[in-house]
Amino acid sequence: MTRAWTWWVDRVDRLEDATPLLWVRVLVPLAIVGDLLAMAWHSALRAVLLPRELGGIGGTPAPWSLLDGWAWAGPALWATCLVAMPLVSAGIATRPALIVGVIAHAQLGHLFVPGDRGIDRLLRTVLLILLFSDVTARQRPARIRAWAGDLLRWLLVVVYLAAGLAKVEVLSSWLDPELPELFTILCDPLAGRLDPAFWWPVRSAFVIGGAGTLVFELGAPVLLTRWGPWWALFGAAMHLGIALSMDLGMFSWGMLATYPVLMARWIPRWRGSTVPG
Amino acid sequence: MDSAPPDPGPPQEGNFARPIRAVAVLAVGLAFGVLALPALEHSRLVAVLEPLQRPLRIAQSWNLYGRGPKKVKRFELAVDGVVRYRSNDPEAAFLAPLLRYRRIRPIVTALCGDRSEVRDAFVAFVADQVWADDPAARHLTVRCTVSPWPGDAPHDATVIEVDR
Repeated sequence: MTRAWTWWVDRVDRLEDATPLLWVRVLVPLAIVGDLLAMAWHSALRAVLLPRELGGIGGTPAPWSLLDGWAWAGPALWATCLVAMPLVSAGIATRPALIVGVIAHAQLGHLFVPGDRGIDRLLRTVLLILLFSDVTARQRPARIRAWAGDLLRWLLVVVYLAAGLAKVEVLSSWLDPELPELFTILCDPLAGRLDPAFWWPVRSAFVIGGAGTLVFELGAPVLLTRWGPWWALFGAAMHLGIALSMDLGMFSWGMLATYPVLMARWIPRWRGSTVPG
Repeated sequence: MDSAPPDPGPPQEGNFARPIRAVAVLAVGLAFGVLALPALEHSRLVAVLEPLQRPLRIAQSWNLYGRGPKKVKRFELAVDGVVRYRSNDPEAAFLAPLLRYRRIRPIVTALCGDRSEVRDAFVAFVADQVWADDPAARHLTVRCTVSPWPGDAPHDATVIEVDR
């Protein structure tokens, strides 16, 4: 037991190249910035940020909303995130900016609950991991304690594995050539971009994509092994496919923003470093 | 000869930092696993951990499109009888960027599933956009149609009529 505990403590504190986690620290806030700017691009600022009396959709804020009595809370929170997140990416006042940004982003979710999706929860979780890691410390060493990268990799494995296990419950429909689940997802007019009538004659082919998705998600533990970067390429292809075939906004880009930690074994090699991955 | 200063590495810490960090990482990692596993969804441990996630909205339950819709649902807006918007129809794309935007689309989806908590507010908002776009418009029909796959036999499932 003592040996196992000593092993664990040493593993948590072993050093690794800071570059992959630094890239995550840069990319995740940028994904959030892109999403916030997309709100303006899609003419959704008024709808999402303002209460009914000012022309927005409004609705009932969540109990943890601290500013719901203030009509301009939405725009204020939106602007706060837009200021804080680039600071995190740039490494300027990183931890204070991170704290402010995460709280503001969460409050935005409390204020407009239907618009706060799984990817928002995931990226806030990632940012909280970064908050306590060495890549947000004032002194930023080239090698950092590996626990943050390990925890982030574990989080991604858990996300994909949970998604795969949920699909196992309806496995037969994912592999049903008559009406594959992947076909119904990508051709759903409410979220997908594919025309169901056009793809109907070849819908059986979607079983292949569905099987591939299941293999990737249920095989997510491979991401923790030496073959992790190769498995991550598989995942990246899946997310790019989702970005092209569905209107899910930030989802694919937010997930891909975390992928540098999955590529950690390759990144020092790309940089020509002699530090082992 | 100049040489790069040695990398100082992470800052030095006290004796208790390492084991505390090890415990914290282990606890958080286990929590991720427990909270995400579908089999443990209704367990007592999840009931304890779940409220801790609420302040920062970091709930860990992941069902990334576990299954698709059993029928083809489309959302429509008809102004004075003319269809101005239909889901994923480039010929009827009024307000499409807004209605397809990721924070608004779930409201549309929920409305078509008769489970939207902001249905009335959303319909009122859409009506405001219609009246602002067309001062002569008098009547708006917000409709969800449902059809078996591949979607060539739609019938009305939800219909909401709004007059100016």
